Amino acid sequence: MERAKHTQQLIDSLSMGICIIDPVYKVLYWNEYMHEYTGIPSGTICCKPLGDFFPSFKLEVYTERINSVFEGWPPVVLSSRFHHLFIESPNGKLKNKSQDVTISALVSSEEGAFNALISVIDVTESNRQLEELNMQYKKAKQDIEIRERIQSKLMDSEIRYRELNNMKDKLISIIAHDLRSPFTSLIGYMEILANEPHKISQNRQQEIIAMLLDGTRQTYALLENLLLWANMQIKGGVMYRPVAFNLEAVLTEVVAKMKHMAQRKEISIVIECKEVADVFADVDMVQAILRNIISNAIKYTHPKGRIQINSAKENDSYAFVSIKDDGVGMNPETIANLFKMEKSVSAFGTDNEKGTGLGLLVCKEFIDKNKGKLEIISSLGSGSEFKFTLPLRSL
Amino acid sequence: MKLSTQQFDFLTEIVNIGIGRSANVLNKIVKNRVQLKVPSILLLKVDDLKQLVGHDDSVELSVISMGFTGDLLGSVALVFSSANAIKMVDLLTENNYEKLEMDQLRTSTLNEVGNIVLNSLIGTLGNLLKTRFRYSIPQFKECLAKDLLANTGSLPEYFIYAETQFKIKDNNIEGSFMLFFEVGSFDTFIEKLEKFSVQ
Repeated sequence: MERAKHTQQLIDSLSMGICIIDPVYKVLYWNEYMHEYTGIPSGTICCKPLGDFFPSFKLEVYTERINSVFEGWPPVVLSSRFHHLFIESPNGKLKNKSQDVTISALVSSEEGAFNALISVIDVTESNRQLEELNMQYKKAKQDIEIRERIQSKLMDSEIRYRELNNMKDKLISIIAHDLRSPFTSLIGYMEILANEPHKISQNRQQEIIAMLLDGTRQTYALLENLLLWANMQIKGGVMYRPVAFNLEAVLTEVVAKMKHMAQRKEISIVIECKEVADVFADVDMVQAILRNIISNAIKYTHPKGRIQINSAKENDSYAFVSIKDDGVGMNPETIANLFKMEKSVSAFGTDNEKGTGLGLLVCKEFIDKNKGKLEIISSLGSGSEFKFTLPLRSL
Repeated sequence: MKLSTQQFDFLTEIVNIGIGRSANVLNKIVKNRVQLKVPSILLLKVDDLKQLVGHDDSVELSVISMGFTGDLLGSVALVFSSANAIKMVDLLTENNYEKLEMDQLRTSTLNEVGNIVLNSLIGTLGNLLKTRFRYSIPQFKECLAKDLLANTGSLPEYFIYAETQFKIKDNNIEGSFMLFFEVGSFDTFIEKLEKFSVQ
């Protein structure tokens, strides 16, 4: 008797709910914790069906599992996440509570029969702390994502800023040197013609006029590229107006206009076009591309050299133009830097022609805009080939 | 050691009844429907266990185990890699938790899932073999593959192994069901299996 009392005191002092029910769910034991937890005293609930106080104990989804315990089957575990309101008292005291419940078989005084021991652990606080931790984790993760996005934007802005700065430096350098210098010699020659025309022979006058013409043409070409390129850097600066046109006709026309440059260095230009149908591109841009690549080819081809221009279908969707010279060629490093704004410098031509490297930047951007691709094959001393594609129809 | 075809068929039947029962119970409480499959049942050497639970010894496992005494002594365990266990619990509860670690909430949920599966399997086994067991409360533990059998006492050379697949929302989550008997009990189990498979 004394021992039973002591055991009851021990169970009552546990910080978990203990309840014992028989196979018809009649409450046989209800510890003090359950009294405090549910607000139902032992005297009220004992000997009464548990389901009258806690409706979950009447639901089939639970009775099916609990009944197996009365047959001596293993314990049944009911976790708080699956059964949030398993033990919900009618007085609403447990409305926001969650419990982990275990129901185990307890040998009954009857031979071969079992009662069920229900143990209840209140996990409300630990679940709440976990939820809170999870919220904090989520928020921290979001904060990191936002910070990473801002950082990435800042990096993009920095890259763009550097590009713009390089662009500005390049522009100033072109205006200060490449555009200004030719004027010094042009003005010098014109002063000679203006101030002392009678002192100069007719032959010398013609030579000076030819030099003036060349210098003016080169400076004009540079100015044109500069404007084209500067316009492209401004959004919507250059309108892209693609039309279908005959590539061979445009090629022939551009080459004809540049013949005088080639003739001066006795360079031969050979054009071969095979089954080129119309291409779909911006004519003005294609003319600028051809003008720049051909003028570069002339510039870097030795006197009496040869420039071979081929055009044909690349595949069902594209045509190509290849401009190949047997001039000085380029090493891999030079090729790699051709389209880098900060590194695009131009070497002097075989006849000391000047350049800025701007022409190729224009070409690359125009080819991209026309949905084509530019390929450069070159090695030092063996000439260069510039090959680009243009779409045959609207893509 | 080999099981006879009859013994093996009987064991397969027990496991399949148990698995069917657990799927039935599980689907009454979970949000996303679960399909349970046991593609293979094997009698394995304890020494081969390491290879099965993870070739890599550093794989972290989530284990729900339950001991039993009575006519036979032993334990049953449902074993998942912890990553799989977390995935399964989150799918079953439609949990949108961000943290990828076992916490108390996941542990108690996994404990119940394991309890349902283990109860059905061992309960069916006890029923069909007409064997009385007394069970301990299911225990959850996280351990490395190499420590799976630490503190399990004396084990015989062989144990029953069943690959277990949980299919939830087009996700296949693999786990393993393991049934260990203590030295003397293993032979008794084989004898019982023989006796009832003949019946």
